[in-house]
Amino acid sequence: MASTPVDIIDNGILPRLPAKSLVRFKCVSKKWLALISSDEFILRHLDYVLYSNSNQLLILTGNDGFLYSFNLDLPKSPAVKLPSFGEQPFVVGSCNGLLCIQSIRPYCLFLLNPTTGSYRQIPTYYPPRRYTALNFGFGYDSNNDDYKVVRIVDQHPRVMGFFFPETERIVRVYSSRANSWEEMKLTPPQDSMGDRKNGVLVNNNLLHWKFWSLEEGKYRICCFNLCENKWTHDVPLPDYMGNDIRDGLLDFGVFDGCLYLSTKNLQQSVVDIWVMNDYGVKESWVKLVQISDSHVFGSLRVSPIAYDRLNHQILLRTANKTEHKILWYDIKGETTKSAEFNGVSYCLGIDVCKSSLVNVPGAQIGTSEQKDENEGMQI
Amino acid sequence: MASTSTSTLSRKLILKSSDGEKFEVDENVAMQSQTIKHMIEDLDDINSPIPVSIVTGTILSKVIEYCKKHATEDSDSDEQLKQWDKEYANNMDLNTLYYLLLAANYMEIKGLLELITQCVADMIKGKSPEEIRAHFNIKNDFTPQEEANIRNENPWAFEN
Repeated sequence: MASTPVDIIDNGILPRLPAKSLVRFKCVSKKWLALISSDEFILRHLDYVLYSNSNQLLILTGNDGFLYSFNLDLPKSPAVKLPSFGEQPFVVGSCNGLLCIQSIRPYCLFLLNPTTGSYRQIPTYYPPRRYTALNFGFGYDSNNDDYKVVRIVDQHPRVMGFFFPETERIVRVYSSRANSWEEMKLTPPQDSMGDRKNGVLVNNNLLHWKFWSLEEGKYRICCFNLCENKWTHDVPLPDYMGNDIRDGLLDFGVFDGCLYLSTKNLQQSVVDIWVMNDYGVKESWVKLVQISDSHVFGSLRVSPIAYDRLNHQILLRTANKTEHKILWYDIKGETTKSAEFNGVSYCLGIDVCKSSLVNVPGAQIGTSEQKDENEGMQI
Repeated sequence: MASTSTSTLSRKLILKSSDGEKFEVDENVAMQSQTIKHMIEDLDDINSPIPVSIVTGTILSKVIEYCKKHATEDSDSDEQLKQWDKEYANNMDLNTLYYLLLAANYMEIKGLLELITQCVADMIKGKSPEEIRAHFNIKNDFTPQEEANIRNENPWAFEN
């Protein structure tokens, strides 16, 4: 066998391997362990991961109260149970292969790399006594190499033991570099935003939330830029259904790196999924697919999760008042089939995360059994 | 006049492999190799064979096959070309791929190097650490305890 030059192996072949293989190849030799663990290599590998369509994990919330990671490239492999930090975990967001997870009992927020198991607890800000909405978002500030969590709360201010009837909106940002929370002084958008809505992340640093503007009688999508720690702009929406869009908008999120909207056309009984191919450009909104209502059971929420380009199918999550389903939708054949994940019989939630080697800043490595006591601080 | 301009457009070069095999190729095919491009610039006599010293005839013919396909500006779409690349690489065993990798690296053919690198990565991604050591001729310098500790950090990575 030809002896391959070291440079081709180290800089050519290895960065193109899936993270799972690299975690396994750490025990090939001391040199490989040092290479695969180095910051430089991890970033080079991340470039390939973000560029490729593969290296995609589904993060499933099982009905047993655990989170699982399921590798879309290896559909026959069983889902892997992730470390647990508390009950009722839910995914706040993912970025560069890291997850931000919230749990209750104990109430906490964690950053976790589901591929390597590295994690860190974020100092806890307990929810205020009386609040109407509590929303989080997770992303990355590339200017400062800083992973950040945004927390938006609509709370009733308490003065001399009394709660004001009017709510005030407070935005705080956690910086993993500083390992602390900071309150943002700039006034956030005041329109209503709902509760438990995760920020929708595009381009690593742009977090979006949907607001209902009572004044204008329509939805707006506002962007919080993590590099600037401020609300920077509204995203233009497509003219998708005449004037009254309120009934039509089912969902909004990120799909395949682009913002998407799912809308319902009541006259034709179809659900349209729109994507904004060119971020910020109104004209770049296009209909990706149109799905007959019968395929999604008249769902009130239809969300595209992942794109399987090879087989021309989209993983969809649909929900109506009583049940929700996870389906593969075949774009060409316009058919659906139930999605099954080896190891998780029923999932309550589904999110996507890239599989990378990126270390959680300031992380410990190990299992959750070793984690520290919850060092929360109360407000 | 017409014949002169045609011959200028498709000048022929002769490439000579390490085992002495000679290949006549169009200049634009050979020029995909940065190494050959530089050699031609320094060459006095275009008709003398250009030595490709570390590449055997068997491998060189495969390299030329790739360069020919990528030199022609015909109607192949990106999609078709990708499909061709895929079939081209899939038809080779790991040993041939390694030699091709060396050739692409030496001859500086960027597209071929990327194609084969990805192909080798796809072929080894499912292998065990023991198989990797054998492939790349790497000595295991961990103590059994050290190796066990690394395995225990992420046991799932060792399952299929």
